[in-house]
Amino acid sequence: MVGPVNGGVMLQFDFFTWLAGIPDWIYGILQWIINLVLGVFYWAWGIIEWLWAMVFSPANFMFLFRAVLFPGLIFVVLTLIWAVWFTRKLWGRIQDRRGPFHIGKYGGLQLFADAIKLIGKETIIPDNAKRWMFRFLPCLLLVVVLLPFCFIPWDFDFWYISDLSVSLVLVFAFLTAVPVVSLLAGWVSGCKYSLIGGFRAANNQFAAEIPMIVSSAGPAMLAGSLSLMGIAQAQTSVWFAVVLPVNLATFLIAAIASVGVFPFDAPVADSEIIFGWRTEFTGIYFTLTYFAEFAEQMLYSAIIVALFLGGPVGLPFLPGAVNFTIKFIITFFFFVLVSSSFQRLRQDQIVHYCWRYLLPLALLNVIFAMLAIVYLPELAALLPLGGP
Amino acid sequence: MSPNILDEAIDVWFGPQHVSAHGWATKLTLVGDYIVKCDPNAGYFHRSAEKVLEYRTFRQGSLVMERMCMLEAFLAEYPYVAAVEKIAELEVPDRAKVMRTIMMELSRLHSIQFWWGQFNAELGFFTMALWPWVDREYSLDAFEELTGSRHTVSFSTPGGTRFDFNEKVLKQINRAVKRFEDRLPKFRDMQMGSPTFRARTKGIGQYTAKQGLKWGLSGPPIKACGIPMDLRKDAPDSNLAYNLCDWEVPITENPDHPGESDALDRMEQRFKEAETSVEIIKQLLPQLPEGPIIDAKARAKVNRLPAGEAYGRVEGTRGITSLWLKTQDKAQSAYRAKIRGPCFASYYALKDLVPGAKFADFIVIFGSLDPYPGWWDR
Amino acid sequence: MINEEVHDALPESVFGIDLENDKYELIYIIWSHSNRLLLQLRVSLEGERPEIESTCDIFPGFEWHERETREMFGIEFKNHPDPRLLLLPDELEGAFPLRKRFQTDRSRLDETGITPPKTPTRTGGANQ
Repeated sequence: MVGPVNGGVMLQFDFFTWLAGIPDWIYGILQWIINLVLGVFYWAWGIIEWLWAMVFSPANFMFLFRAVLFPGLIFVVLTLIWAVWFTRKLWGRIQDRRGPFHIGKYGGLQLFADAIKLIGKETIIPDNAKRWMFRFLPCLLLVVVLLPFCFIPWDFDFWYISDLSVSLVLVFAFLTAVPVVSLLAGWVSGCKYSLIGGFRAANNQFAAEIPMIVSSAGPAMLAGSLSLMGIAQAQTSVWFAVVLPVNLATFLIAAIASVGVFPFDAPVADSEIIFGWRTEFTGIYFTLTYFAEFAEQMLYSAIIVALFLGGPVGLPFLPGAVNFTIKFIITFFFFVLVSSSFQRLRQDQIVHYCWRYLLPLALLNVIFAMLAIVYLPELAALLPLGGP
Repeated sequence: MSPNILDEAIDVWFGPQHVSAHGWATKLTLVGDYIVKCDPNAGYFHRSAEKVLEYRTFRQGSLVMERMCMLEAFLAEYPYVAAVEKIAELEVPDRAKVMRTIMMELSRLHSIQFWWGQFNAELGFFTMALWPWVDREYSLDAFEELTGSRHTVSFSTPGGTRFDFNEKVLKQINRAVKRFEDRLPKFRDMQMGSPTFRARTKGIGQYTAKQGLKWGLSGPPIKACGIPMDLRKDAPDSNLAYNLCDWEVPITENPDHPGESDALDRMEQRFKEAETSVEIIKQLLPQLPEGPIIDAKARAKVNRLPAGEAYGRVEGTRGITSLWLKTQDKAQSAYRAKIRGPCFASYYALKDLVPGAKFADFIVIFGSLDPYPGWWDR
Repeated sequence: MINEEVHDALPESVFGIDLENDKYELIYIIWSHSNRLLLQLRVSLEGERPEIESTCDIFPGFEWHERETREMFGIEFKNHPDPRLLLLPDELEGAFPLRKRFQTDRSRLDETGITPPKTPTRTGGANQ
């Protein structure tokens, strides 16, 4: 019956139609749930597909291979371990003794044994130290020192990780942060000797960074580019060490000063301030700061090879990366040799020598190179600047 | 900045737990990088040797003395032996006199090589620290061949010596001396010619001879000022053989500051001392007479000594080393034995010498005075 | 007077001797290289805590020797600039170890071959 009944409106409602509609409704809900699940599944699958493509598509996989294995993280860490072994053996021979030789043939496994032992030692955090910064800073130090290895041009075509147009500036930005981290580490250790060591590290930076950057301006100018890859590519005909020998020497010395090895060892003078800003670090933190020092030395050697020694340019029958590695080993050898032949200078003498001698020499050589480019056209022809 | 600069002073304990401070602690008051006050603290190594000597027989006492400074063991044990010989009126055979002198000079050489290496290690020059230490092994080989021990030698005894030279010992001594002679010129050039070394030690820790004498310094710190003060010539001991050879007291005169010495002069002085020692050894070795090595009646006489007082002195590596001995009648051990070590004065001198220097120079000054805590703490 | 006459006097040492019964002797040793002269001054003192003027104003090098004599024997040096303990730890302040009445542990004395004295040196001297 339809129509107003007792003042209300009567809806048409058929119970049995409704009853017959329930399975549809249930089916609709089930469909909705299944669509939801399928949607999630496809979404997850989409992510996995995306990851797969990210890692295993040929271009991306090779990038990851380069970034992690060679010449990336694993390669750098293994080279770091080799560098420490090499340093210790070389120091030993210079000092008329043998260096480690018990563990592994020629002591090769000594570093692994040392690393395992040091990591297992108890870490003692002094009461006066600021705990979280104390734990954080050594890790930051190692990361900041290892990062610039991305920009080192191990090879021109393929075996390099990345190349920015201003990678030289970026590398120096990272390296300038290192003494600041040292200063902070000395401050958060809560010990007077660490504080003095931190101040000395900041002083070292003040003394040595400027000659270093001026020395690196020479190759950048000659190559006309601020990227390490560009500078290395500009040396295909002549190495910059031939044109700028004094700059090579000043860069090497300023690099030693910046790292804080002998003879510019004052921030970690172990006969004066126990171990400088590294005094209070024990166990894993000591391992990190110890390896960070050698990683920095390696980094400077690699930068020297890229800036002055031609990078991958060398013997034509060897791949570029092998050329680079050979030159890198030779540069690192000179690094260690120079640093073991002199004794520690006092902090004010470091500043005195760097500002009085290194800086003018670096500037003079850059100016001389500029004049040579302008007035010696044959030289300019060799470089990408002067002509076709 | 506060008007009173001492308000910003911080106190740093260059303390017993420090890489360079083996057995001593000094409280330094620093303003910025400069030391304004230095308060040397002794007593970390005190072994009450003087009281111990009152309970050791006269043959055992020299062993206590040599442990005061084992680096110059032959020189350290001699004052006690000399004092006992004076009271007991023993006659030392000539062979023993020459042997004692040779070994004392070799001991001086060894001590200088050790100090040289340690000083360089404190300066951070590890290459030059280990090269003299390799040569030191040759001297130690000679000590071991003679006495069986590298450092605690116990060679001199009242009345003579306990061990005799034989072919092997002479060969080792010759080897040690020859090796040092061959390598000294090269090392000396590398050390003194290094511009960083000169920069670190020139003008550091400078004092006049008169000031040094007032503080009680003797030996190389005074000889480096140009004053030939050497007990081997000033007060020659009849039981040693220094008069049998021809040698000059080594002094260093620096025309820049006559009558004063800085750390560089003291380094040069010790090279000269080492050369003089080598010369004395080379002159004495051919003159070694045959004969007994100890007074035949020594054993009987030294058991119980008559009452007496004696003062035995020797020119040690670092200065005047002496022992004042008083015995009572028929005593078996000393009644009072006073040990005077040369580094007692060196450590005291820091109080007036160091203020005004930079913090990094503290260890250079102290190292150049050749410190050894065994001598001031006993 | 020494300062004016002998221009290079080296203060070698100052030390005390405990002759028992509260008698002490103080010995000053001064060496002059230019005159080849060794000077030994002997001062006799008596009393439980004898006093004497300090010589630090003439010879600064005697300062530590006097400090050590004071802590080991109990001899007071008046006007001494720095009368702290030199070698002894704080527990032994006032114990005056080098006096004969300060007995050390002599349980192993027979190993040295010394026959111990028949009479003890002074009664009432327990390990301080």
